[in-house]
Amino acid sequence: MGKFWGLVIISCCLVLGLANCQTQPDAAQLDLWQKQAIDLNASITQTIADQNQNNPVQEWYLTIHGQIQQKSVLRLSELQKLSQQEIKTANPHNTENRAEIETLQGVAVSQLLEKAGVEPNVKEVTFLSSNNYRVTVSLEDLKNYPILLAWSKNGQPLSRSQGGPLYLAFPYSDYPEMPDKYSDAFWAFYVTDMIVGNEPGNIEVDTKPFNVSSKLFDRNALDALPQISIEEPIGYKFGWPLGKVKLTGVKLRDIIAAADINLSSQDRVFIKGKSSLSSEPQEPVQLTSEEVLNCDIILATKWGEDAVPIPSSMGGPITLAFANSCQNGVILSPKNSQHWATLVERVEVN
Amino acid sequence: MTVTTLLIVIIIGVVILLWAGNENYLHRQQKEKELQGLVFALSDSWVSAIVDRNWGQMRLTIDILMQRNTELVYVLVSDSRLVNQVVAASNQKFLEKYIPELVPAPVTQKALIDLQDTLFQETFLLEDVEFPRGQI
Repeated sequence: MGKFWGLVIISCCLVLGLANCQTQPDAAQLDLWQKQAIDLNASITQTIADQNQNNPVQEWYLTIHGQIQQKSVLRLSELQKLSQQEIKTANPHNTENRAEIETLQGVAVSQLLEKAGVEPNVKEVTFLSSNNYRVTVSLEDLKNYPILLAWSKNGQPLSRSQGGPLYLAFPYSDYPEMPDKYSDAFWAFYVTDMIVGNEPGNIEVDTKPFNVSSKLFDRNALDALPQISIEEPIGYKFGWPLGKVKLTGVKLRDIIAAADINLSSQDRVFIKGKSSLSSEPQEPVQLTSEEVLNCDIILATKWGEDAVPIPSSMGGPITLAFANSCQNGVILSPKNSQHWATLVERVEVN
Repeated sequence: MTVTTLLIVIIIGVVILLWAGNENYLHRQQKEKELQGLVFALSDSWVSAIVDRNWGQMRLTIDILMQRNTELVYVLVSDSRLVNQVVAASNQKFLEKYIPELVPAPVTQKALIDLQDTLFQETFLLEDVEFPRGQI
């Protein structure tokens, strides 16, 4: 009887054990799956390469502006034709091995500045990234240290996830004082613009059909429009003091009216800048006409109690700011009220 | 006597097997919930990085996440605007691929389907993964 029950239980165990078993693929099966993945990836890569032949990927540009002799726009391929420089340095963004010495190739910023012809009273240069991130470096340091706009690392082009195509790199290893002066946050990814010193601040207001009858407001024209001051907790992502700051400028609706544009209820107002302000060309900062007409949305040109011009290092000379006050029951959409934008250059009514 | 002992051993064995299976199931469920929370948190915090195509910053975040959570074997982020190309990855070997050879292709293809919820898939790694480099 005991043996019978023993056999029953052993059988149960076997069934349970087998039920828990999983089929393990053998090495051949794993190799086959890997080959299939590699083949599929190669096939998709080829298809996309074929498609891109007819629609070539847009080349990367670096624009140099500000207090220089003449604004210049350089293609990456043109930059690469300039005399190339190399630095061997530890990279703070190499999270796998911060001590590893990398060879970064690129163009020395000092060379670009020399070519651009910097005006005498300039003290600093602001580098702007495609995601609207910016860093400001002293002109003296740019002249004295081999600070590079790098495009390759150890002979390989810098991928986007490594900060490419243009990556601001500092010679950390050869100059031990450099990390204290410029932390890893200064190694800017995807650099698109170099602003030497400050810009005077012009704004172009345009409506459809674009580029036919646009109106350009220079700094004097902006200052001649009615000025408004607001004091709000700052919504800019970085480079500004915390808490409430006084900003002075022109109401967006006033500048649109000064450009002889009548906003209709269907109109939308797009705010554009050096980098696409929301960083995605398909998603610019866009405001409804209701918001523009009823809310105090300003294009700020001065900041602080002393109303000093907004420098490039803070995203000036013109920034977009929102006062926490709207009339006629209009409420700013939360998305728009967060779009405090810097380096504003253009207003489009569409 | 022998049969009785054997019976007791077998009963205890079965109980342990069932208990272990149950614990394994609960542990797995807990891990799935942890991962689900992590994935939701990452998705939310990466919205602006995705809009900005800020892959460099995302790569740094992934590396730090991997260093601090040794239970994660790999993290791949693909961009549907770029035909699901891998735009940020740990291991970087898989960067810019469309179908990484790390898991079977159907697993990747299923993972790339737009869903409103987290998708769990059990699979086999097709090659050794080492992070950080040189530690194994």
